[in-house]
Amino acid sequence: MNQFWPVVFPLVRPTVMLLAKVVIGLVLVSASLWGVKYFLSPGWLQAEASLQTAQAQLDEARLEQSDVQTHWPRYKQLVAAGLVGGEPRAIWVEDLLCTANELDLKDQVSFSLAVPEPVELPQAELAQASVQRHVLEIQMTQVHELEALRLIQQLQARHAQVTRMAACLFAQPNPDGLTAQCRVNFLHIDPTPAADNNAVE
Amino acid sequence: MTALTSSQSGLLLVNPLQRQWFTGKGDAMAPPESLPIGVRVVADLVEENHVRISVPGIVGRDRQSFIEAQYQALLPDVALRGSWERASAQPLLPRPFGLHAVGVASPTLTGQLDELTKAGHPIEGVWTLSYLMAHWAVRQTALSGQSWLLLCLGLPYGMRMVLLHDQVPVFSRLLLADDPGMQAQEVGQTLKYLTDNRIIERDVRPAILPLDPAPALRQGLQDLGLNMLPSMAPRHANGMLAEVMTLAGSRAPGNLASIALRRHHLAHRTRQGLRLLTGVVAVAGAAGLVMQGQALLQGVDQSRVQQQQAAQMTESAQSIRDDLARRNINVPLLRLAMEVQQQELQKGIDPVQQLWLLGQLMKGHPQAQLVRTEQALREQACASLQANAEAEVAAVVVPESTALQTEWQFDVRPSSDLLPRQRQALLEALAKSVAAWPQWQLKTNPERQESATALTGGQGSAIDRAATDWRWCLVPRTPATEGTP
Repeated sequence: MNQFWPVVFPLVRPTVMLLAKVVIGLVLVSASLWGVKYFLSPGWLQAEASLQTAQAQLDEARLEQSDVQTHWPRYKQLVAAGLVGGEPRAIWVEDLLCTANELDLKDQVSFSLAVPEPVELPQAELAQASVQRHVLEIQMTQVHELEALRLIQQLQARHAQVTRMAACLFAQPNPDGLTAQCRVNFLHIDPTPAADNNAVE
Repeated sequence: MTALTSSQSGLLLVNPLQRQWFTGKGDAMAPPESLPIGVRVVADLVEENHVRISVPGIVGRDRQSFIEAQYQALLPDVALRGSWERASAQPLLPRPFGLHAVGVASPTLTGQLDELTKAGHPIEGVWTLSYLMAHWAVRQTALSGQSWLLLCLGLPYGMRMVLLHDQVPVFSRLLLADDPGMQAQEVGQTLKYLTDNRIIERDVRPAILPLDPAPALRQGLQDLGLNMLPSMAPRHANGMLAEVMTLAGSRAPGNLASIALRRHHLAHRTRQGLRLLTGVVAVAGAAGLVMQGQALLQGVDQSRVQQQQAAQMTESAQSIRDDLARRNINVPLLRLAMEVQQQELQKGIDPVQQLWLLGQLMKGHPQAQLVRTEQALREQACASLQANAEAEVAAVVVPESTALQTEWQFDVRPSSDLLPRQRQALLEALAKSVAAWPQWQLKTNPERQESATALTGGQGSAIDRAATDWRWCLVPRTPATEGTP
């Protein structure tokens, strides 16, 4: 082989040059195509990213639409029941007193509506709203258990959409009656963020 | 240069008397005058010299230099030379081995090659007839067992004798005499010469194989009492000479022509290979470029489609949102309301059911009195029954955003005038009734704790009435609570 090419190459030079031209031509064209692809690839990536973003937006919009279709009637009920909007603490207390009065238990009933507790929920920040839990403690002394139950049931019936009975204790039975302690949670959503209360106008 | 294949090339036999042209298949032909064709030259000349080179255990450049020096020493100034063993057959490791070579220093052959070159005929190679005869003999399986073999090929101008030792040609002689009797005598003289010069041992009687012999030659050899092998009929129609000559080619060993002499033929073959390679590269490259181009166009098209789809999706999403906005629907607020309902407004306690169940229980056991009942939502139901009543009421206040569980505790006090066995029976009856409630699962059963409490009584004992109460703690029966105590 050491003697072969020095002797043969001058005779096959045109053919070798032809091969070299073909290879170089192919490489140049291929490089050009790669260059075009390199030039276009940012646009392609952007188009792909746009598609993914649009797909995510559409999925989210459809999910919102689906949620609305599924929960809208229930949501309207909750809004009508006062879950969302102005704070009806006074109404709850007045309703309790009114019910106690109707059942002739005004002297046996005492209550306390505690300072509202914030409820941390992930959706609250997205909705720019605050959720609060109002705990109403009701204490009844010297009542029959049926009277206590009736009071609680009637109060709950007035606010069934926004309350949950959290605890109920019946104790100290004696001939004059028993003592009942019940805890009712009222839930409320304030659409106005708490920070807005102190916002500079 | 005309493209030629091996079958289109010609054979040129150069002997001391004349030159003869044959086709690649061994048929006689007229000398080519106009068109240059590839030529395989077969030399059958008296100026043929066989040598043996003993190569020591060296490798690489040292080995090549040694062989070249040996060529110069044994065949000085002989340009046309070649070895029987191929270079590829040489051992890779530094082991000693032998090389058998032949050289032809003939002005006739050199002049003939010059004429061919001037005429533009590419020379494919130069082989000696003796090596071609040896090559032919190696291919015959019937002759493979012969250690010493003398081939005698009858020629129009005489006879060529080739001596093979272990299928390697070590000696040859061209006899320019066409008389069969004289040829037979010369064979005998040649054998005597080989024996006298200790080329073969005295006790060795080489097998004699006459190729295409005249009957008189065969008879003469038999008369000499030589070790004759049966004649082998030539397969070629033109006789054994044509059959042997057609073996000349790239597979035949001992090509005497240098690369420089064969340059036009090698260039032709190389050119063919390069053209084929160029074609393959061009086709493969073109296919690759087409695929690359298609991928590029596909990428452009895909990008355009993606942009269109993105625009359509954005439009659809905006349409949905516009519709929701037109209806004044605050979706995050709706979701928040649903979350509040799910987590904070469901699964409250039901005091009516507990009181009804307790009423049923106490009605059947007048010796017992219900002292206290409480239902509450707790993180861990029935976790601690040791706390006092005040602490229990305070413990109702728990973070309620976590998963809460309903807990029901109630205390029953047995009548103080019950005897111990009556008290035990009452407890068992109560426990049995409570355990039978289908919706509730017992977590704390006072029946199990009763045996661990002290029995007290009598006029002088101070009885803690609360300590004698029985407390049950229950949780709603669910699949998760099934099987737990």
